[in-house]
Amino acid sequence: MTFSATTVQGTPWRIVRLSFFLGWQDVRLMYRRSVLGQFWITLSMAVTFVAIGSVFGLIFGLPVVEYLPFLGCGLVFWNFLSLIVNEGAVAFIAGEAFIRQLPLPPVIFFLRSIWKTVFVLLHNAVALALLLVIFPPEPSPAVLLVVPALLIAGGGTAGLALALAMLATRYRDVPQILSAFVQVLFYLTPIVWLPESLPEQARAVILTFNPFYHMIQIMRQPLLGQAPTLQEWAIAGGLAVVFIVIGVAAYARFRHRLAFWL
Amino acid sequence: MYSHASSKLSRRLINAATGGHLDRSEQGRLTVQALKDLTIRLDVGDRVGLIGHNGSGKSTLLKLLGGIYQPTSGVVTREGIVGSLLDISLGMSPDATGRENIYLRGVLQGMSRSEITRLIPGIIEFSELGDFIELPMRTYSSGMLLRLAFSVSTVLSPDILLMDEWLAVGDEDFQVRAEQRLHEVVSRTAILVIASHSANLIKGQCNRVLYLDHGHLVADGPPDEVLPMYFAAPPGR
Repeated sequence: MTFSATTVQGTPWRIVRLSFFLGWQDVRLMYRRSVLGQFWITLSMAVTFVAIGSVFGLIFGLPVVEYLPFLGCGLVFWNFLSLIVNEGAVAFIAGEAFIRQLPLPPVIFFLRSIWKTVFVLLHNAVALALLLVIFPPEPSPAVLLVVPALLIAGGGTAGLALALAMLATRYRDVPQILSAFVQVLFYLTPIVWLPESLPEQARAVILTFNPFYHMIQIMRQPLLGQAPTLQEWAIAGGLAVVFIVIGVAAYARFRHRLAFWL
Repeated sequence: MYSHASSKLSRRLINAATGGHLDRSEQGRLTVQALKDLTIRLDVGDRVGLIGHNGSGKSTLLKLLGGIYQPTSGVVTREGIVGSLLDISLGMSPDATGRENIYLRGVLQGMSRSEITRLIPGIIEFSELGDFIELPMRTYSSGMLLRLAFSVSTVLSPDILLMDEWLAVGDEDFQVRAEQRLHEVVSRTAILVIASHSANLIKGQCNRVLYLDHGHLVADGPPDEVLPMYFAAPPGR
């Protein structure tokens, strides 16, 4: 069976549009045959809130009103970042058939996976919004800061994922290593537990060198009614810039090899 | 300049993948040199047939022309829009409806949403799917699936068309129309490059033949001259 496709010498705008369309199709088709459709994403996140919230709230002896918003934000944003890494890293491998057949810029298939995580985030955000309506944190204009925070954290993590995607396409052990690593990071990052519950000295070591901690901090705090400090913005922003530079450089340098690696 | 009159391909190429020369680099990596010392120039009106044994570099050359592989040394210069006709159902999803799959295929072919919306009635009509177009593709027979894929894939109108063998799809009635449609696409294109093992196909479609052997260009000329060299020669080296 043989035939078809014209070259899209991709203008950036076309690349964004095409990847957006493909990412949206992915999310829709994933749940096509179920009644709730993609709202299963929302529902399962809500169930996770309740389950982890009630058990760990008891363990830590924290009032639900305080603990649940913290946990909810942490889980949703962790889910966002870890999906970017895990899905992004295998994006070229998943797009193998396309990259080897169609003269499209391979980055389309990376962006497709990023859009997919954005759509998942939006569905989770519905669950989070409900949670924050039921257990409202102190109202504060700082809430709006979540928007730049999402851009910094999401963009930075995507930069990292792009570099990892190049590496993973060349060395197929990388995705396995990554998913194990990301799993471990979940426990090392204060999502379920509070940063304050670590002893002072341990905190310095465990939190300082965890980029996900800094990324999640700037997204979570605004929703809990606090503006992140200047230092926190600087660390997260700096990390984001470094990650994006590495990712773009790796792609620019090796993108023509991708078709051979696949 | 993407006008038909200016469409031409010129290139000097080397290297890539399949049955060429195996090598070990200094780091001990295994490399395959699929094409070597190749200098060709294709101009408007060229109907090029690629012949050669399996692994001679035909597919690699097609991928190089299509912009999927970049030459590891040398250059490929391309003027005009390239349409490669490989795997017509690539990107279609069984859970999406026929209509949605037309969009999926269409955007991957480089069409805009509005362009697809404009062409969709014609595509559906040609595919003869009728009301099935609103059903998920997994409910289709394999013949229906191919008809749909063929109908979307052949709406394109590239300056340079790349094919790997001729397409034959569907039952007898559809085959006649498909054949006609394919000839239309080919006649619209300024340059055709088709890899094939069929002497008849190449005689019928091509005015120029490139004979590849182990990544080298052995002959380049009109079909009458080049075809006998390949088809008369004993297989192998």
